[in-house]
Amino acid sequence: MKKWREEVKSLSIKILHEEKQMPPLLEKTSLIQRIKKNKVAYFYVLPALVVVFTVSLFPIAYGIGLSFFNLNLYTMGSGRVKFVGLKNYVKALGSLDAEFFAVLMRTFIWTVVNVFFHVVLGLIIALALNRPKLKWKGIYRTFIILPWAVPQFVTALVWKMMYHEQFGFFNQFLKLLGLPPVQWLTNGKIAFIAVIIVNIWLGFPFMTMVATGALQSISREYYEAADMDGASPWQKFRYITLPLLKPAMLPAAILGTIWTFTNFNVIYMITGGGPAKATEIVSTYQFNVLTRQNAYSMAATYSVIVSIILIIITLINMKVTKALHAEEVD
Amino acid sequence: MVAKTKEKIGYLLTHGFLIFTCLLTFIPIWWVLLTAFDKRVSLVSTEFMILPKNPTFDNFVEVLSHPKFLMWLKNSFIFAGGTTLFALTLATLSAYAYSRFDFPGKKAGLASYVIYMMLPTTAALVPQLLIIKYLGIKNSYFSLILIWSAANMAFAVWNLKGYFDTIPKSIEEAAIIDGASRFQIFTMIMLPLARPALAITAIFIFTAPWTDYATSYLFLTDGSKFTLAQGLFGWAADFKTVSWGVFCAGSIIMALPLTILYLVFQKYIIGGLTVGGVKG
Amino acid sequence: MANLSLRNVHKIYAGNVMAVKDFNLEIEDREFIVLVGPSGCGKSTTLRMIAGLEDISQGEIYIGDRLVNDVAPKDRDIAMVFQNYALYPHMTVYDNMAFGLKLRKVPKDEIDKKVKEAAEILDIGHLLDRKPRALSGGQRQRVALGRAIVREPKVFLMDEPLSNLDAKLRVQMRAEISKLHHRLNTTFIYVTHDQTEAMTMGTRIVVMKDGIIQQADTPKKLYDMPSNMFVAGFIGSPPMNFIRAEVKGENDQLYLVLDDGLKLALSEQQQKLLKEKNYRNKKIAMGIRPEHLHDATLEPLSKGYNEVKTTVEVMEMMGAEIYLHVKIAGIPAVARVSSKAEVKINQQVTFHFHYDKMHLFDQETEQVIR
Repeated sequence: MKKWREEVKSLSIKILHEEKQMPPLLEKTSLIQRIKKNKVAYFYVLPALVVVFTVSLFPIAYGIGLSFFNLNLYTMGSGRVKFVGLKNYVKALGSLDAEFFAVLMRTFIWTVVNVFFHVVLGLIIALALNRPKLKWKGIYRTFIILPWAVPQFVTALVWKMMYHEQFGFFNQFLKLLGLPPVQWLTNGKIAFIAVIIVNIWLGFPFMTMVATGALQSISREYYEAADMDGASPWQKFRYITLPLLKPAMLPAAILGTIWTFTNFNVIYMITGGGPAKATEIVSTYQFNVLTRQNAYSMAATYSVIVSIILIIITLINMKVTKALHAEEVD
Repeated sequence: MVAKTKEKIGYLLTHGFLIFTCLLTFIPIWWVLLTAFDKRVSLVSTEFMILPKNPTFDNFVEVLSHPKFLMWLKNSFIFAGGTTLFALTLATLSAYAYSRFDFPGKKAGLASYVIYMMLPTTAALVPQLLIIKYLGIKNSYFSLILIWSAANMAFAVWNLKGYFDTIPKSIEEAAIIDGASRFQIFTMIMLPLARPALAITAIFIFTAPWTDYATSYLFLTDGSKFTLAQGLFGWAADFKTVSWGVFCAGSIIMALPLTILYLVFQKYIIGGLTVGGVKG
Repeated sequence: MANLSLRNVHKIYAGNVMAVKDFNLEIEDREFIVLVGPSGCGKSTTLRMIAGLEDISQGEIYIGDRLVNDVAPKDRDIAMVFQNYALYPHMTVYDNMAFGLKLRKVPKDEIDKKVKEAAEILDIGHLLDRKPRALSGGQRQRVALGRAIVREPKVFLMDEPLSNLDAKLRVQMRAEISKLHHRLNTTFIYVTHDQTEAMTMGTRIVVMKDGIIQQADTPKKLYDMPSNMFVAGFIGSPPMNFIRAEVKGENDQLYLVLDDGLKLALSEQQQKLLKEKNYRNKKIAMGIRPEHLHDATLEPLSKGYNEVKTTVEVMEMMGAEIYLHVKIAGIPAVARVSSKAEVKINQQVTFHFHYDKMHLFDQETEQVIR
């Protein structure tokens, strides 16, 4: 009855009233309470944070700072280390140091070509592996995964051996076919192609696996429905497979972009950036500047520039994943 | 009928394509195996083989009795094993707290790992060298274990936290009601349940010191601490130091354990890489 | 064995969300209390506050005579069965059941005795060496019960324990839990969203909505005398039909008029009540349960019955009964008649219903008029 309603009203007013009064009180006590109640948590997270801060974060901050100085073996020895502002950055990106700019451009080419082949090959092979009545799927898959499973470092060294001009596999093979040998690692242009081939070989299996996983999760009912609608194989691929692969493939491709962009082992192990810096990409270039020229501040500068590029890629990644999630919710 | 034959041809082509791909992926590996398991008189044999002509384990015997190789192997085990143990312990503790406690500062802590993953780690190399010199631990096992642990911490924490998040809270609540303390819940319930994730994370962490050349090159000047990666790189830099057979045998020894682990755990590793990972 | 007392219990989450508002309930020893309501009504939160898994924002909870607000769950002498069973996946059934006792440092032979006893009661003696993943849903449920039984708690708490089982198993386990309650002779507090479970198992049912107790009563009383439209609609299946009506009448004789002009007679008591409470010429909600609408051809009109003519729109054959979907005064309604009734779709049907079976609610407050 009315009475009850009034009771409810008075109760809700009471609650509202309390709500108005309580928040500051409630939150204050809860913050202290939360700290007290979760004391143990700090003991759990602290050791890792201490290690990361002292061994990594602090040195990184220090290193970023270095990029504004002129520290190298020479200035260090003669005590002439000083603040130079953005000079290193100007040098890296301006016309003064066309070398780094060329290396940066080469890194972009290296990344785009590699990721393109990784994704396309990965997708084609995954589609082939996913044909419903295909036999020996397991065997094929194991063989195709091999390049991914072998540690990259070892693979790179082995390929270096295979590219050996005199005794390497490829030139031996060409000889067998009666063809002239190729200067795999001594001709700059060919060497760049050679390392790209190695990295494509290394990278497509990962994409194959991601795509296979995504393909297997696509319900057969979509295709059956499309069959009912009279869709052609191409239409089925275009309007069912591709859109449904996107949520898995896009993040993987962006991840692959980051990995390829920062890849060090493949080029450094095979060519060391040579011949005559023709295969240098940012990661190897920076390492060589650090170890061969001992130009510490310059190396740090390159590091920061690369990081900024990576942060941009990561932010794009986050946006894309968010957009994909939003799509799924719809 | 026509449709059937068409389908058959389609499958035949698919098989052809896949066999070709398998050949591409397998030939380099087969070539290494051949070189390692065949006794060649000289490097300059121009013959092409499908199977080894003179099958032998000699190359393996030789590499495993090479004093330097054994030293590198030992060092790599200490570096990789030590890093795995150290980083995994710290990461597991952190991940558990991030997943299960609601403490002020939790978000900041987690976010700092994300930011950390985007920072220019290579910029830290010189300051790291200075710190290690300052601490007087240059050329020590611990110095590099620290550096590799820090480098892998963000990934390990996020990966393990992700797994802990999937363990239903009610299992812990059941343990609370059963009378378990926080620490008992961690050791008796969460750790045993997280075994698969711990194994995968361990493989990841182990891979880094095991196959990292750049870090050990920069931080190690004492030849007696050199790692397998450094050793094999040295051999590959000048193929005259050891025979190709011995080099290949060494490579196989370095690669095989990880290769098998990656093949066995492929599904989980891919999952970990794409879900928990921002960085390889 | 213990009585429980919840006094002015509130739960306020961060952001000042009231999950439970002023919850008051005295639970006698050996009662089987069921907290029931739609999801988000605060029933699980209440249970978890009793268990100690949630803090009590305001108010007091007593188990026995002890105030337990600040007592750790393990010291409250309670056991809990979870919705997803929450068995420890890496332990055998035996270890799952023994875990709580081991932590309490109970001697090994005593643990063994208790686990085996409980396993016997639940008929899972042959599963003791298995891991939870090797068990069926029903077996897991039993293990979860077993884990609670071995502890011999004063109070058993169950949080929707049957909702993950299929329909058939649910009916079976329902009976088993009731049996268990008789056998163990302790207090049970059971949370569910399923009114059938509540009605069949509870000695007393607490119907909740939006964190507020709507009614706490025996199953029979809830069914016969729901105190508001929410309880009336929630208890019983298919749910009660509500039809708009206006109270009319001159002098002493009051009756209801539906929107289509149909007049319904009221009992003397109902008339008296409506007069007293001044409902003359006001709109009210008349509630009638589907099972109280009788097919006129099977049960001819006698004293005290009202009559409604309508058209069958949908028929649902349930076996012994047929559910007829019709419209009464333009409002969709369901009747539950014997399958002997000869009815057809789009044909007219006449229902009789006793006016004592009509529930009268205030349209505004949704409370029963009494």
